[in-house]
Amino acid sequence: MVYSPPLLPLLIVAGAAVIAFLGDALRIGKIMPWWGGGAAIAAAISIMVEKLTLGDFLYWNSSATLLGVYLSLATAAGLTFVAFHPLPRKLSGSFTGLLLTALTGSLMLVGGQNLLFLFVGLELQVLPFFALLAWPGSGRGALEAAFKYALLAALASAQFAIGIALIYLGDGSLAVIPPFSGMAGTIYGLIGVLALLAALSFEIAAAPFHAWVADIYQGAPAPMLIFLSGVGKVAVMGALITLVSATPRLQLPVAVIAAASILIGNLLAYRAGHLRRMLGHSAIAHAGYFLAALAAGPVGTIAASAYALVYGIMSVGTFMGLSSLPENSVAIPWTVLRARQPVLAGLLGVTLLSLAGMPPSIGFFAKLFVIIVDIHGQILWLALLVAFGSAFSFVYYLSALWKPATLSNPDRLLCRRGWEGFAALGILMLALGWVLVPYGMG
Amino acid sequence: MNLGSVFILLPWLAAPWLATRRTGGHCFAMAVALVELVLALVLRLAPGMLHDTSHALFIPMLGALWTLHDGLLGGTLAVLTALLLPISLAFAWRLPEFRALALAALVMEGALFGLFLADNVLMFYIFYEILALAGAFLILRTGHKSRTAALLFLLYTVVGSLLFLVALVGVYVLHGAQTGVYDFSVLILADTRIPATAGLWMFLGMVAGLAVKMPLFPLHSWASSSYGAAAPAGSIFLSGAAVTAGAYGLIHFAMPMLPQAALQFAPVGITLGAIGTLYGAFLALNADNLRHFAAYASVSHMNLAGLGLFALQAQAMRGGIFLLIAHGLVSAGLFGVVAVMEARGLTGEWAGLGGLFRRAPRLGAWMLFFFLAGMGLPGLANFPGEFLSLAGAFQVLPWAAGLATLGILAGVIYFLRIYERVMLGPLNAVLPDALADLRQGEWLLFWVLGLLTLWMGLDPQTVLAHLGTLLSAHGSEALGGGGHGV
Repeated sequence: MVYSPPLLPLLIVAGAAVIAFLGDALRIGKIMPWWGGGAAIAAAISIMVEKLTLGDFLYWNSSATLLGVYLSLATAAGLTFVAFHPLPRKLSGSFTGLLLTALTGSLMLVGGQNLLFLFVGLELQVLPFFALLAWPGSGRGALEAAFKYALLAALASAQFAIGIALIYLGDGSLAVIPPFSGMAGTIYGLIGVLALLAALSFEIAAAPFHAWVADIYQGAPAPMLIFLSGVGKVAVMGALITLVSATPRLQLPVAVIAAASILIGNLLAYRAGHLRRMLGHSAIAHAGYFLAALAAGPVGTIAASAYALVYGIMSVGTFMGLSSLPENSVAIPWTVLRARQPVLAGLLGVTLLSLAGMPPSIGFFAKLFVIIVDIHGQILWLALLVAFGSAFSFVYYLSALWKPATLSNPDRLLCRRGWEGFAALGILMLALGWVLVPYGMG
Repeated sequence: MNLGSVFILLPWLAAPWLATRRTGGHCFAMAVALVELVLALVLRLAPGMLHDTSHALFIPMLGALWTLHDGLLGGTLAVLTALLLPISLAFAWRLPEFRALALAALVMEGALFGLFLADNVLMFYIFYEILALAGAFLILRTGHKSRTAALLFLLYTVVGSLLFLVALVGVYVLHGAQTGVYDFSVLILADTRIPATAGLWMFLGMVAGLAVKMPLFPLHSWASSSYGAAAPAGSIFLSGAAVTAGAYGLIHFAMPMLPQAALQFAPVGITLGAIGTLYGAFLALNADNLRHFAAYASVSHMNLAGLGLFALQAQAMRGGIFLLIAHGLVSAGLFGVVAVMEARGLTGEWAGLGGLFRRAPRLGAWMLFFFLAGMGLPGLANFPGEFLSLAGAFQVLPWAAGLATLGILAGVIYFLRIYERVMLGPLNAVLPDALADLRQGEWLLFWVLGLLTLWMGLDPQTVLAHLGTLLSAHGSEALGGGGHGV
């Protein structure tokens, strides 16, 4: 393929990934997370440069640019954060390489305008996570989670492939925006597009494709969940934005999935009783809020990108905070955490409130935009559902915040001085990130 | 940075500092509260201070979030809030959970000041939510430390206020569709043409969000568990000051934005207020302890205030607002009595009370004073408010006003009956032998509250005169029958 400028971010990340894989052999694995972080930041800068350029299969439009920059920066932040964690101590070169591969896939998903390109992106993003979730040194639960994820994600990929085949059968084109007719023009196309929607809904754990999420959130190591939910899901949300904005006929199915996700996610999260499972179930509800924005048509695209971005930041914050706790904790031992890592405890508190949608955190503004676009798009019932879901979510998020929990052995808490800086930055972003909106609009 | 921003942010800056302290902090919290009282008086008495307001935090599509203005109603309610905070802190002085209470109350104070000064409705909503969360924290960390009560309180307010938000966004989107200007400023939103049916639904949503805080019948059931679970010193602030937020939102935001719908809703609002007054009175009559009794008495009075506000009639609205302020003082007195009794180890259950007057005559005297004020004795604070509300409402919906009058009659019965149960009669055997009467400090606090109650009752004109000018600013649009409506 001839080199085209929009591919530059992908080339940077993929090249860095190859070098990182070699890092272990060259015995410079220790510095590889930092190398990966640098490469991801370089990718973010190059996306900013490539803003609004249209490549063959890739278009850095505004939502793709926004999410692409976010994904790169989140990966960079996650990598440097995890460098302090004992988990990637073994094989840290391969660890970095896998994460950068996943980032490559994520960037392809966000910017891709061709179905095969999206499929490759999906595979590139999903496959590394099989290995990452079961990284050497994590427990049996993680292994189980990785196995479940592998099985179900493979199923979703297969569905995606079938969808592509059907669409190709329908109008013989693989472009997301076909030149002559809509993708859902024929009956094959319609079924194919629905299959794509189902596959992508599966990846973001929207109901009724949500069954995997709680088990994986419970079993997988917290540092990996920073990437799985803060990068992986956001990238798939980006692909959904591309798909649904190109196919207006999808708005009704999206609205239905959104409503089901909000209802089921909130009910399951309320009954979870386990911190990680609660987060997993509430992720279903968040997928629902995201889809609710997407259901509102063209205006909804902006709100959906904003929601994906905010959801990503909140997930990164949550799992950064949880990385400090022992993997099997069912609640947050606030007293110990506050004594050992005060800023990180603050970050966890702020993210929980932000997830619930407490103003003036960015979580609130994201939900506000969803409600605004839904009312604007005359889907009042969905706006009300978002509002009620958000109100109801206070019950379980605040329970997590209030529940008195103790840690039998405080030494099991991971304490890193370096994490406090990340936490301070996260608190600032979550609590006051919306102040930057006017600057970001320019 | 102007005076208004300092006024709002000072308690919020004080709160984290208090949170990092492991002990003490009493004098610091009290000093901040007194400074805020002085600032509130300055802002109220010299309303020109805010005129150089800058528009800060401009967000595209949302408008300038940090826009402050000074209204007489907001200023008056801010003075009430600023007055109740030091009183609440003083009653909590010896409690082990003083710092948690002061922390929550300071955050609530900042949020209340913010919403009294806010010009942007979205900012009002943000302050309103912060107020709810801080209130829930207060209930969670003081008194019975009941998680259920805190959650119930939070759920009621958050569900209600999200309905408010949806209704508000409805107005905002309509306005944007009509004029192309997307902005949450109340001055801009009040200019929207709203179809009658949609307007009524929006008004219902707003009422659901705002009335739940007052608390208006039938959204009142959080009140008894919240006021009953929080430390009584905290309930002073919760019942006296925090409830004014809902009423203020109704008068300042909901009614001017949807005047036509407000007029349509008036008969329903009056009826609900009347039923609430009567129902609160019956609940108070059957309350199972002193805390719940004070809570239901407060609910009954607030419903009467709501009746006055919803009547949309000049006299009744003045009465409603007056009662709102008076209720703050009287409710502080009632919960103050409960706080003093609990500080002496009395639970407030009826079985442990009786004949207390023999042991603590000063307490008994002040309790009688505030009970009489609560009954609406002429010459004390509640009377002008109750009288005006009912007199105004009679002209709009006589039978409902008559029903509410029955509630006041029931008030006489329940106040006297409870007084008899607690203070009079034979001395209860379970009471401890040595029961200290009011201490110097408590004595002083009751004097402050009592003199203010007396002043408001004897000289209502001072407050009412200002309310007149204030209503011409806020209510005339609504009273005029909706200049902007369809």
